[in-house]
Order: sequence, then C-alpha cells, then structure tokens
Amino acid sequence: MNRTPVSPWIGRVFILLVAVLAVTGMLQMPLAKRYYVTMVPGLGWTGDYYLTHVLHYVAAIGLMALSGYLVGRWFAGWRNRFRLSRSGIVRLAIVTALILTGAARMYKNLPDAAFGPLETMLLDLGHLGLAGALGIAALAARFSGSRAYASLRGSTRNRR
Amino acid sequence: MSKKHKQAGLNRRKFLKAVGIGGAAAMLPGTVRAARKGVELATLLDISKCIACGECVYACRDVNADRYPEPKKPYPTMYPTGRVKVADWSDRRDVDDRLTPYNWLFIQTSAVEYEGREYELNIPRRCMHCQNAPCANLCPFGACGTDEQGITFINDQVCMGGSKCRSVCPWNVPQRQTGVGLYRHLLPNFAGNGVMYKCDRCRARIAEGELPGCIEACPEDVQIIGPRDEIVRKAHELADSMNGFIYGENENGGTNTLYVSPVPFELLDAAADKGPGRPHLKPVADSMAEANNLTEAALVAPFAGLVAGALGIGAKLLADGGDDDE
Repeated sequence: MNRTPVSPWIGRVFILLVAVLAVTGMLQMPLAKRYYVTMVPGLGWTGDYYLTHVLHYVAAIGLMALSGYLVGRWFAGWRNRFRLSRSGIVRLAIVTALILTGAARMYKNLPDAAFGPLETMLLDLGHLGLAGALGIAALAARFSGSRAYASLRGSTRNRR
Repeated sequence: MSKKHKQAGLNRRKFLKAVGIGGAAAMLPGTVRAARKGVELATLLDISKCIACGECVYACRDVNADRYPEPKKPYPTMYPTGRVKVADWSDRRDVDDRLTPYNWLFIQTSAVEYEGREYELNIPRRCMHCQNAPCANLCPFGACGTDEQGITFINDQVCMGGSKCRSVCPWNVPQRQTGVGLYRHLLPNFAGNGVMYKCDRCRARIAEGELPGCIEACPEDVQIIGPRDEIVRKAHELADSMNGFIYGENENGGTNTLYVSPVPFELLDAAADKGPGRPHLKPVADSMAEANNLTEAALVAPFAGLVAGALGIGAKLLADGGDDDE
C-alpha cells in the first residue's frame, strides 16, 4: 500500500526539474566564470547567460505542467484519500510562490509588458529569496523525517 | 493620476523652455503629451549632420557629473584574485573616445567610400535603449530596468557590478567601475565588483520636463526625440530623402535609438574603430526571441497539466499511489 499519492517517477521528475531550476537559477548570477566553473570540461555552457536562461525557462515550463497535473490529480480524487503534511503545505506554498513570481518575471520579459522597474526588482529579489527558502524548507523536511508532502488519511506518519 | 505617473510626468512649461533653448527641431509635436502619458519615446540621429564638435559629450558629462562614481581606495581584494579584475576608470575620467563609467556617450567616426564618393561620418554612440532590453530582462537583481518612456537604466544603489548586463548587451554598452556600490556592504571579497554605468537618456531630466543633455546641447540638431511611431516615420522619410539607411529600428527586436545614414551601416561598421567600449554597427537579431517563444508554451503548460491530471491521464503508466493504494 502506498502511503503517498505520488509515484516514484513523479518524484524523480520533480527532483530533476527543481535541481535544473536551482542550478540554472544560480547561474543567472555571474558566478560561473568568476569561480572557474566554465573551465571545467563539459561545463563551458554554464557561462552562457542566454543558454542557462532558456534552460531555466524549459525546466520552469516542465514544473508548471507537472504542478498542473498534480493539482488536477489532487482535486480529481487524491484529496479524499490523502492529506497534506505540515511540511508539505509549507513547501507547496513556497513552490507556488516561486512559480507565480517566476511566471510574472517571464511575462515581464515579453515585449510591451507593463511592469515597472521597482516591481521587477522586488520580483527578482523575492524569487531569489523564495528559492533559498525552499532549499531550507527541503533540508528541514529531510532532517526532521517528514519528507512526504502528503500521506494517507488516518495514517499517523508524516503529518509533520 | 498615480504617484508614479506624477513622478514621470512632464512639466509642459519646463519642457517647452528647454526645447526653446535647444531648438524646436529637437522635439516632435506631441512629445510632451506622449511623455506625460508614458508613451515610449525614441530618438532619431541624422548622422549626416554630425560634425563631431563634441558638445553632446561635454553636455552629457556636465549633466551627469554628480552621478559619476567616487570609489573608495584601496579596493577590497576580490577572490579568486587571478580571475576577478579591478575595473578602475577613476584616474582616467577624461577618456572620451570610448564608453567608460565616466563617459556615457562618445563619437565614433567612419571614413568610407560609397558610390564613388568619400564620406567621413560621425556617429554619437551610447546605449541604444532597446524596446525589450536583455540587460533589464536578465539582470538577476533587478538592478537594470526599463521604464514606460522607453528608457533603459541601471539603479546604482542595487547594481553589484557583475557585468552580466554588458555580456548580454549586443553592443556591450554598460561599463564597470570597481569600488562603489552595494557589493562593498555585502561580500566585497567574494561577490560583485562595483557598479555598471551607462546612458539613461537623462531619465531624471525627462521626468523634470527637460530634454536630454546631448539633444539640448547639439548645435547641429543631429538628434530629435518623440513618440516612437513618429520617430520611425521621420526616420523613413529622412532615409528616403537621402536614399539612405536606418539602424536601430529592428536591431535586437527594435530599439529607441534610430540612426539614419547616407551610406550602408555595414560600411560604417567595417571602417569604425571597434572594441571594448566602442560598439559595432552590425545587424542584431532579437536576443529575447527564444525566451519569448518559450513564454507562450509556459502559458499552456499548467492548464495542459491540470486537464491531464483531472482526467487521470498517465495515472496507470505512472502507477501513482492514488490508483493502487490497496
């Protein structure tokens, strides 16, 4: 009997997408060249801002599609059998805020988007801060033993 | 009217006064109204008129003198020391033949022969103020922005001097000065390297209802400013009148700086002295096109996922716990 609604495959895809987003997100800062990452054989691409930006977009599209899928599955039935853990709620809130700030930033990058410079700066810094918060929340969940986002209703495990 | 609009709005009297000093040709009719409404403004430079007198360069320096960096020395050691270079122009403030943190406008000269005639053309070079500026779109800290009047600018209070804006700029316009800015208060040894500087088309002056310094000072009326659609129309009229060429209308997806020349820009580019701080005049494809195409996919993705999830598509394949929990 599975105690979580999410299959191992979905979990792996989620981890892969978040990892790509974390790495390409970090690479939006001018770090790769300064800290010799671009000198590592096979990692020269890390210094190409346009490439890492597009990779970030591609992974973000994947995460949005996966998130939509999971929301659809949740409301189509999972919610009757599973409950979100407390740490799951926290992480989902952060992921949702990350997606919203990222999507707003994607919109801002379109030609003719009506977005002020102050709002853009707040979005950028908010997105960066949320990414850090997700990392901290994920580590806290890992080390507190409450890794699952959701568990079977009635189960005593993974309520934290 | 919102506070933002009030700040950005133009004082008609001041603007007209400035235009009166600089010459009526510097502003197209409707510019004040357009600027007040937050309509995108562009500039048109008729380079056949430029005599390289340098008045625009001096005016730019005068107008922006109090915004130039005043770095504190000695600079913090930046690690890795072999990798991070100090960019110090503070002892070379008089350099005016290229873009520097203390020189946001310079005059590029190209001597060419075209259709049997010799030309020596002078081209005032500064930020092109792209309509969809990659520097503003890709700055990770939001330090570089664009405003509703088509100006691209760098917030020197936020910029960390990483020079990403210069790397992604098709013309490599922004220039770095080490030893100033926010990075000195964060991790000066390990992140950041000063502040990037470039032309902001005298954003503060426009907000006060004045013309940009370079336009106001030009004795030859090389430059005019106005709503972009009118500037584009004027550029085509001017190009048609001299059987000339336009640069900047479509470069990088469109810029708010349009040059009109009697000779092809390919020739000017080939003859110009180019390099660091001296931008080229080559055709430029839209740097943001790929990302913008992906944004359209991003609009569809969550809804496609939502529908697939609601219909249970792939649930068996993925063998998720919601379907085989017993």
